[in-house]
Parts: sequence; structure tokens; C-alpha cells
Amino acid sequence: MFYLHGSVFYTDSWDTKIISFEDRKLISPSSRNLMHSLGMPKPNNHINTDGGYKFDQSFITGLNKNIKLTEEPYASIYAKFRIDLYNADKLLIFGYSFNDEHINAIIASSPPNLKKITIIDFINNDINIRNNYHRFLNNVLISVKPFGHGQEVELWNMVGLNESRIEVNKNYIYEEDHPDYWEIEYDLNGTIDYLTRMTNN
Amino acid sequence: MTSNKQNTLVLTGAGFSSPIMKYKNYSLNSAFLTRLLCEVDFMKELYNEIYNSSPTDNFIVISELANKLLNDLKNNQETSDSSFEPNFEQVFYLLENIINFSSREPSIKNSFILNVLCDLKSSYSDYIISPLELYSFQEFMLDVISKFKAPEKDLSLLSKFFFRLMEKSYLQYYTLNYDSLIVDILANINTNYKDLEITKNFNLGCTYGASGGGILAKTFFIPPPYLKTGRIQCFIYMVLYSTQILGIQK
Repeated sequence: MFYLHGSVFYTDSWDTKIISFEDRKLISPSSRNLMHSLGMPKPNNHINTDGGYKFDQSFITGLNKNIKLTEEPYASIYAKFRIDLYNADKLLIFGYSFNDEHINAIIASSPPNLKKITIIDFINNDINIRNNYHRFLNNVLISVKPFGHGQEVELWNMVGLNESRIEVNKNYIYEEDHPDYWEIEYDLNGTIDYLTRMTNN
Repeated sequence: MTSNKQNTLVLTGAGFSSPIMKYKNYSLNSAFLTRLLCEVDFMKELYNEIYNSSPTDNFIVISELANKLLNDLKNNQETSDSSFEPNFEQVFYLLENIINFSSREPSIKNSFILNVLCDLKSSYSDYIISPLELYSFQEFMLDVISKFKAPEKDLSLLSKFFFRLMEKSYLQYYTLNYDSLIVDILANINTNYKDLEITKNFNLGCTYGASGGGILAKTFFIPPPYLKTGRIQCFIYMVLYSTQILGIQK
């Protein structure tokens, strides 16, 4: 289990940083300042080669995410993420709206064993997320997964919503007809509904 | 032998936690985190709740600046794209740029930059927003996030789901969220699986994953040589039953 952007379990201790799967111990900013003044090492604030700060982050956000992710522990975590995706048969995505290009690029790296992507989200009323799915699927996923049989098939029809999805299901049998495609399944009913249904089945 | 199981990688984003994780009447979503960073009074309220004290002037300056930046982002959109809603991520991006500018041009007073960018109260004009203060603000945000928990009924449902999933697959779990939800889920399953162990040693190239039926699934991961250095500071695999603290060297 890995936190790709940091977590509440990644925090300062007296003389080091720790990951602890215990309840987070709250340290007020004033107490933290006191600890620093008494000798606790301050976070690293080095200067990058471009002259800007290399921010020591409690979580990954903001400027130059890709650069921040080259630092430990994130560099190792992302290496593992690539390897696990490389070996994955299925990818199950909950509530991710494809706004992180560094994650999209890894997903789009044609994992050889990946046969199915299931996406579960509340997208019924969220145009932004739906647009992101479409943008991502059109611009990235489609272009990187090699097509079988030398055919250019519009994957849009395979992953589109509503009627087009029915059309796809009628016309294509994934395993037999197009083994090189990823099968992409949407579930539009939201996380809790999905979990309830899948758990009861 | 469990070799016929499939490998499933689970990736969760904000939409996984936001409908589930609650603190008082708040949901853990981008809107909440944006308020926490950009609304001074809201920040003060939460700060007081969790630390039982008032925020320092540094925090208030950061929050006021963030508020100004957020409003500027909202008021200066090139198009009328209603789907774009600036949030804490964009504000952090700008805050870091401001600090970077200040670091590159040390001969220019930080107060000048702040006054150009936003009409801060004059009493704050001497403050310097540094990377360390931004770091401290992030720690505060994580402290607040740690207060969010999943209701018992949702946690139970999630635990059953992941239990079912583990019966069918070797599971690798990755999340883009900062909260404790997945740890709470695994801890909830934990009571049923006392014979599973934690995986801890990345450098040995061996990991253990939890599986259903009390069977311990073992997978091997051989890290490339460049990862087998002293720079490997932490790799946390939390599997069920126990927890472990790993030190990260500075």
C-alpha cells in the first residue's frame, strides 16, 4: 500500500521523519518551531539547479510535481508503481479524475499484461471529470496501446457512455476479437453503490 | 497454491475518500482543503479546534495571500469555462512561485513582492513567506486531515469489498489521497486475519501481500541496482494485522 502524494502518516519526529501507521501525533506549528530551535533538524530547503527552492513537502502538490517526485521516498514508490502496473492484469480506479499527468503517463505506458480497467466514480453530474475521462482516453490511452490485427479502430466507441457502450458490447467480444485492447468498464453509480453491489454479489 | 489469482492494482483518487471521510459536518474534498488554505477565518477556526490556540501571524499572512490568489484566479479566467474551479493546488503553485521569485532576487524586499501581489494589512508587510512556513502550513493541513474518519457502516462495507477483492486477486494498493482511509480499512479487516504479516524489506526484493482465506501470498520484486543504495529510505508495505514504524534518514 503506497501513498503516491504523501499522507497523514508521513510526518516529523524529533530527529527524523517517520512513517507510522498509528494515529497522527499533532504538533502545533509553534511547538514545531520550538523543536527546531532546540535542535530538531529543519526541513531541507535546498536550491535547485534552476535557482529556485527545492521545497521540502509534507504532501505533493503545487509547483513542479515531477521534480518533487524524484526525491525519496517518492522516487522509490513510483518505481514500484510502474513495476506493479507492469505486472497487473487489472486496474481498478476509484475516484481519480485523470488530472495528474505524471500518473496518466504511467498508466498510458502500455502495461503488457493489463486487460481490464475499471473506473468507478461519481461522474453523473460532474462534467469536468467526464471531460477529463474522455480527454484522457482519447489522447493518451488510445494512442499508446498497440492495436491488434493492424486495424485502426476508434476506441472512443469502446469506452464511450450509454448507447455506444451497448454498441460495443454487441459488436465486440474483448478476449476473442481484440486481445490487444484494454477493456475499459465504467461504473457511473458512484463509489458506495459500486461497493455495495460488488460486495453483495 | 494461489498462482491462478490475478494481479489487481487499485488506484484511488480524491473521489474515493470525499463521499466517505467525515469530520463533523465537513467532507474531505478539494473544496474543503481550499477553504482551509484560503479562508482566514475558517483556517483560524480549525486551527483553534485542533491545537486549542490561535494561529501565528505567519499563518494568517499565508492564508490572506492564498485568499487573494484564489480570488484573482477566479476573476481572471481567459474563457468562461465554468468547469474550471481554482483550488488549493493552483494556489500552492503560485505561492511556491512567489517564494522562488523572492529567493532568486534577494535584493528585492519580500514585503515589496507581497504588497504588489496583494493588498495585505500593513502590519504584515514585514513578513517573509519562506519555504519553511509553507511546509509548516502543510503540516497543519495534514493535522486537520488526520481528523477525518469513515463512518463505521462505510468502513465495514469497504472492508468487505477489499476482503472479497483479495480473495480473487493479489492486490497492490496505491492512493493519491493523504488521508487514513485505506489504513483504517485494512485495520478493520485485520481482526479476521491474524496470521498475516507485514512486509517490510524492500531491499531484499520480497514482498508479502494479504490474501483471503488466511493464505499469505508472496510475490517477488527485484529492485534495479540503482535502487539498492543507501538512498532507499522507506518503502512501506502495510499488510494486515500489525503495524510498523520505519525510520527515514535525513
